[in-house]
Amino acid sequence: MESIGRSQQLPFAGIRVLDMSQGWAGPLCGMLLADMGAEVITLEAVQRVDWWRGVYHRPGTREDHGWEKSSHFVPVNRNKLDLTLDLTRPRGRGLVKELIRLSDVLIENFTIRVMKNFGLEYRDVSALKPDLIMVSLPGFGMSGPWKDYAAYGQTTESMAGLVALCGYEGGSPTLQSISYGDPVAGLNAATAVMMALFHRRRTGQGQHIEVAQVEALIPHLGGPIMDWFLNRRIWPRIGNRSRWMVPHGCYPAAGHDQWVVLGVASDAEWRALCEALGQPELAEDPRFTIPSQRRRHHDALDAIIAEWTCGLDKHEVARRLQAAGVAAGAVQDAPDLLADPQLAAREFFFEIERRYVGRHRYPGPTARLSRTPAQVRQPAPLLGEHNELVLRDLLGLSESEIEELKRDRIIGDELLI
Amino acid sequence: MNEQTGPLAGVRVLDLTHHIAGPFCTKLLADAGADVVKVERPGLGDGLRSHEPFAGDEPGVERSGLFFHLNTSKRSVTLNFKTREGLAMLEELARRSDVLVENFRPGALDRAGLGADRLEALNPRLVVASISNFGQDGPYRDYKAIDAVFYALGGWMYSMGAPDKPPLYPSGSYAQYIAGLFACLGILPALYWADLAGEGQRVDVSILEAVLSVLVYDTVEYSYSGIRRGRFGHRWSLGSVAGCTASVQPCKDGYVGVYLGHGEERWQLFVGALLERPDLLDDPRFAAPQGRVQNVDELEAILREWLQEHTSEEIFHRAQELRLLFSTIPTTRDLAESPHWQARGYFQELEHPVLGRVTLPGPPFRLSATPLEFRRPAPLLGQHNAEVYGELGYAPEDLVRLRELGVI
Repeated sequence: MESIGRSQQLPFAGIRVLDMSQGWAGPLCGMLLADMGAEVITLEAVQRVDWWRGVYHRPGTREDHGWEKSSHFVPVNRNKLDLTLDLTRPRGRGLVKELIRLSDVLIENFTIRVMKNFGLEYRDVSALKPDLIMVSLPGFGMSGPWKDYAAYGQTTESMAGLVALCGYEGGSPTLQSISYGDPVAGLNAATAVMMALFHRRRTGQGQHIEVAQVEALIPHLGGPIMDWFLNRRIWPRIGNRSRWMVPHGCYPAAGHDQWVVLGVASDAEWRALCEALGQPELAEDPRFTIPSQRRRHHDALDAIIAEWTCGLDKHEVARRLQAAGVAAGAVQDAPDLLADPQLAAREFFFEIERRYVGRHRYPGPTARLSRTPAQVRQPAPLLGEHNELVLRDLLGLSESEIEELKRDRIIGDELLI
Repeated sequence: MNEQTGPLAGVRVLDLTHHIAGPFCTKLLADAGADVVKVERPGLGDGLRSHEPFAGDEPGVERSGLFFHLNTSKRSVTLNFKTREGLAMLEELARRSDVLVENFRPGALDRAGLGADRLEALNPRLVVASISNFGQDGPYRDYKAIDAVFYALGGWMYSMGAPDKPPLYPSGSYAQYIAGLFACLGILPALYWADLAGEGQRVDVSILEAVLSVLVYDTVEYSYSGIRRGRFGHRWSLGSVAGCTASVQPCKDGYVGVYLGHGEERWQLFVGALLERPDLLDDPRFAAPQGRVQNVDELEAILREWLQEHTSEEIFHRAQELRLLFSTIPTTRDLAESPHWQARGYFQELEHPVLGRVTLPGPPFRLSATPLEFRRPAPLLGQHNAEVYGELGYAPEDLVRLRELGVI
């Protein structure tokens, strides 16, 4: 097959991944493998496209190629090929089984019953391809009383205990502003697949990987979960304060809705903060000399700090504090990020042209390898963009067979919902 | 290592990391079977050893629960590599390793005499991974960072919390854990490449960029449509999705996660079967999805009235049985006591020489043929000096001398 989706200079060149997943978690796993050279074929159906394209909830996405304009689908599917197959019909299922025979990795994030209904459980697919690495991302795992329950990123984040820990002091539990459970599941899945690929390279053995999304997230709790086990203590929600830094908070800067954060971890930093505030005498103020005193008078301290920060640009506050040796940073929004000097100096964002959306910048590959750097070879694929390439060049179908599949709408490149 | 199991069995990792991001990365490698030798400074060791929570709230370098969690399956040696002999020992360890992971300030390893060129000369197959706050270059390279700085600069915090309040701190070291995962995602392909092509390379991971990589949509959405996502309070929102049908709500005995998702089928199940209010299906205020967003306060009042009559457990199970993806809002205690995680054997117990039997979260994923396992509890400081330095050829009397000189 013409090597659109792969590169010979990268570690996973020659590894073929069939990505049956949707949304964020599974597709992110596929994209991380694609970035490192794997040929990743993402599988959709014109009757049931990846819901991350927005067609099931965003108005206007079902006409005028709206499904190709999703700010969600595009950034997590670069470097992939797109194949549509209607798996509810035997011909579609037959073709997917042929593809599995030619694949090294299979990614899926359905609930358990879906793969069972397709006849594509691990025991089925490993019979087709014995050294296959299959990765499944069920919310709660494939065993236990909740195995048939399903999860969004918010569900996993809540069930892993993060939400109970986050919130303003005295306020209600709060979700992260991103669907944090999703990317964490995807990062873990890709890590697990890479481990399994390493093992397979040395032994020839494939295996089934289960990423129970909540289980992947719980280790990120760290301190609070260990405090429960060691001391039976439950951590309260304390807003912008810290358990060990004082002061620690988010303060207003000049302008509307502009903010800056800072935190003080040592006596030296405390004195440096007082100098930066232009009030070196504060360091000797009996209310603030030692951390426990500062904690007791945190409100008064916050007022003093805010009085200084609110007259300055947020970047200027951060610059002055960093120069003084105090950890601080401006609270940035999307336009700030696109203009951030550190991200720009490291060329974190890359720019690419894509049909229907034009030329835009996207967050780039994160792990930077010096000899085999991740390559952005192509933007996220269009629906069914590589149907013919995959079916003809990989599965060896004739033009007339492909025409028949089109006619029967087993494949296609226009939304059918 | 006495056992050679796990997907990374036989891989040798020289671990120069401290705090959270680096140790989380090497913990995953160690639990996967790699032989991870953690190099710590004599005396205090990894600063995380002095970080709460401590068993019984009693500080001590062998008493930190967080250190215990993040250093499973590793061996610990102490080494002062600012001494000439210490550096020579570190070089010897680097020569026989496949991977070196470090999270010093950028340039620190160079100044210690172990820069990229020296490492490549010592071991051309070595994968050298560096985790740093902002990356190995750029104007912020030497800036100080705490977790709040990553969330602020990375765009995570701006949209956290309520519109009429300051942006809210996410309350955890998540940036560090993500960076640890990205380090694995650089090391593992590099290791694969080293096996294929016989050459090592450097891996550079910036914690700030790691944050941006889980926050992918905000800048793209802005670039596509000029939409700047603000703070939304308890009603969750990503892009154009909004309303109280993705929110954390009070119920009879605490809180519950109401995560309805999209599609009319789910709406009908929610209103008709869960709330048992089929009359609302014909209510003009809520007939169309946009109406549910416009009339969100009224919808929320109806929802809350029902939630007040039910416990979080009742709501969670009833909703999930209807295929609605709701959640409870468990505390750490609820997690530890959950029958589901108990049935799956997720939390595990390890015997530690100082702490006794301690429970901790299990591996984050399960490989059927080569599972990740806790091969040993977190090491005591310098616990494996004799073993590891013995492997390098040092005799017990050499180690006595090195200890007296403050090298180990």
